[in-house]
Amino acid sequence: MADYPHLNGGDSTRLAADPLGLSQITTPRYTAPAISDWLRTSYKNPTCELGSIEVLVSPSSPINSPTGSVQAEAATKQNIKNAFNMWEKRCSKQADNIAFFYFCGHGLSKTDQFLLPENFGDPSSPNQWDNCINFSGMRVGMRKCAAQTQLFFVDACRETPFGVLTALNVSGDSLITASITDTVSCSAAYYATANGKQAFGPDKDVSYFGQALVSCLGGVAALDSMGKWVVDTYSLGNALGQVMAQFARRYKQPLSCNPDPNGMALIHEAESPKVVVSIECSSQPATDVSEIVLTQSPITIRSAPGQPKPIIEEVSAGDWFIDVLFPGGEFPSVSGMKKTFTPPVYRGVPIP
Amino acid sequence: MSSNLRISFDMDMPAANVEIVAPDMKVVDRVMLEAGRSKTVQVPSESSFLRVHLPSGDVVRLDDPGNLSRVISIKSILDQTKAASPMQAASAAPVTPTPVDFGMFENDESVQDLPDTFKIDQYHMQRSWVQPAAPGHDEILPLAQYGTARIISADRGSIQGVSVSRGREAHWEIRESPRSLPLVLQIDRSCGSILEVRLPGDSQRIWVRADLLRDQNTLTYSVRISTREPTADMIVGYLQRGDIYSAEAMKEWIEEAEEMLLYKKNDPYAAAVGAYLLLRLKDFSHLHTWAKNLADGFEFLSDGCVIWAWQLIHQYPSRTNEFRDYFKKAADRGLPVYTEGLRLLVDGLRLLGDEGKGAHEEILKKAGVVLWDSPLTATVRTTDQYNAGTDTLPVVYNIQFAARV
Repeated sequence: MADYPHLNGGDSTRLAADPLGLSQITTPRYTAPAISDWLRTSYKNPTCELGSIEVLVSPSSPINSPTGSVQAEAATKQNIKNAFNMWEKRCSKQADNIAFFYFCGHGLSKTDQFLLPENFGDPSSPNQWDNCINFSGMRVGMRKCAAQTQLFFVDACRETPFGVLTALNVSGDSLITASITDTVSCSAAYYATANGKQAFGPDKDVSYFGQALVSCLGGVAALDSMGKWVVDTYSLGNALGQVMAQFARRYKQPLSCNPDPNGMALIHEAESPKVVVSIECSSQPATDVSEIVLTQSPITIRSAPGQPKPIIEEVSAGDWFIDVLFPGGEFPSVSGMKKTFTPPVYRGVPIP
Repeated sequence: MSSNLRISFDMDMPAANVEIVAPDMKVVDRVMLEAGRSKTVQVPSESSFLRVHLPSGDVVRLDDPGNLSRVISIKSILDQTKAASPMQAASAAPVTPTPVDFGMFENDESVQDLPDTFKIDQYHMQRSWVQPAAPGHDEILPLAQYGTARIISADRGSIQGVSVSRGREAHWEIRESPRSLPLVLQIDRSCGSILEVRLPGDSQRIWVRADLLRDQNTLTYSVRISTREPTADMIVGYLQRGDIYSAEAMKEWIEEAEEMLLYKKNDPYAAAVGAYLLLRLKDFSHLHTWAKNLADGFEFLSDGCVIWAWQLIHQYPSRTNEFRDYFKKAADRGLPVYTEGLRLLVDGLRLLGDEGKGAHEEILKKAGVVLWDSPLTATVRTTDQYNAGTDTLPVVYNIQFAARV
């Protein structure tokens, strides 16, 4: 079964009346397990330990859990609604809970942001928008939830042209509503802003945004706080944007991120600080013929002449040595430049 | 052993957040500095280094171990960034914009499609140093074969601008009072799709270019804006990028600037930016009645109403009628200039439930498709002639405040 059976490339006998130019994507089925695995194995927050994880994947497939592999339900509208209700109820048990929501799949962004479940466009439904979720409404509605830290990640692939979107009268289920007196101290949302399928992620792999998030949570967004390397809602917003900008160069895609952190809250304690480095020469002719070597014993990262540059890699923070060599003698080589890489991004432009 | 580190900004520096970082990578302090100002910070080691969060979004690290009196200049920044290399002569020019012969652009890659978004950002940084010397003479300006651009004032019609880079770029220089009505930048594409960006009335320079990115097969329309208050531009940039720690460091400017912005310079736009920041930081003690004055004193601006309504919700949740009225007043005035305001308005009307339903639906209709990653409210609409068959390439609208570094 395709991920989106009613969209282009899906079940040809049950296609949506108007698939809006949207087609199948493979990225979510790799991204969902990656985020779930990170939460299960790496998440650390002494003030709010991991409570539960609810995963829906299309097509329904096995997901790792503490007790072994379990079959995740398909991400249909009804399953999402059921899972959302249970999740919200669990989050509401304590004010110091953290609600963590990650969506990876197709989205439509007008004034509101809409998320498309697996069965979006089901022709058996009289209303085209029956199986559509209004994320903007959901985020506001979550003010009703007692958890005072709420994190939302919208990793949505936008394929529908702006012009086509303007004509659509999109509607969706907000899943929850709040009143003006409901409050939340920290509601942080982070949106991937890739336009087009190519910018969403590599085929059969984790989305670019998912990769950037795991990097950031893993230490790239960490700040030193009382001897601990913590990732908070503010540091994550800044780091995600910077990392996506470097990914845009690495993957040659127009990638960026739109962070909207309202309120500061601790998310995670990273084991150690990490840095995304981006190293090249200060001129293109020099970059093209250079050999750049980064060393922090015993690790060596090398990009020979003609190989892709800048070197864009995630590395441990701390002291590194940079060699910029010109085997052809075009420019003077420089060896042993000591640099301290600090999170989140080090953009070095060594000579010449 | 701790020491006192004095950090000074040279006269050519824009205001920026400076992080002071100890050798063990702990952030010791964050301070806001601007041209000609200095601050002294206690550091645990003379090897502490500085990270300057530049208006462009770049973060530049400056090391000078042992030096306890650091002076930061544009040159010291450019020495650390790639921006220095391709057009060093232009970048090293005096801060006061000097008319430069546009031949230097005409002969280089400015007339061709640029390869990627990184180069677009670099290009605009360089472009912000120089501006067309020729006065504007056209109202509708070409963006290569990818469309046209114009700026419309509610009370003065289309504003004349100048076309450069062989018809790929459009530039405007605005010389109006800072309390002028908001402007609208309109980019028309041949497929019948129109982008509208609300511009603050205190805008000074606006320019747009179009590129079919050579390495990314994406049609990009990049817009840069600078206003009379570069510090306000930078704060919006920090907020847009989610760099809230840097934005927070700018609170000091707001505290000093409140009276000046609102009453002496009469610049409601820069004042609104300050108020948005204080609202996001929930710093109501400094916000006091600033937002109310904006809401009541500048009827052409819906932003003040939105900020004041939210301040009431946070501080005086029982004053339901008042904040409901201000939300409705905001909706009646039209879309806020700043995206932050549109987000707050839509959320506020939604939370009002049935009471806000009519206004909420009206705003959704007015806004249509919103570009939420733009710092200024940007919306896309189509004409009756819209042809989806010719709108097949991915399109990116890259809208930011201008930055020289």
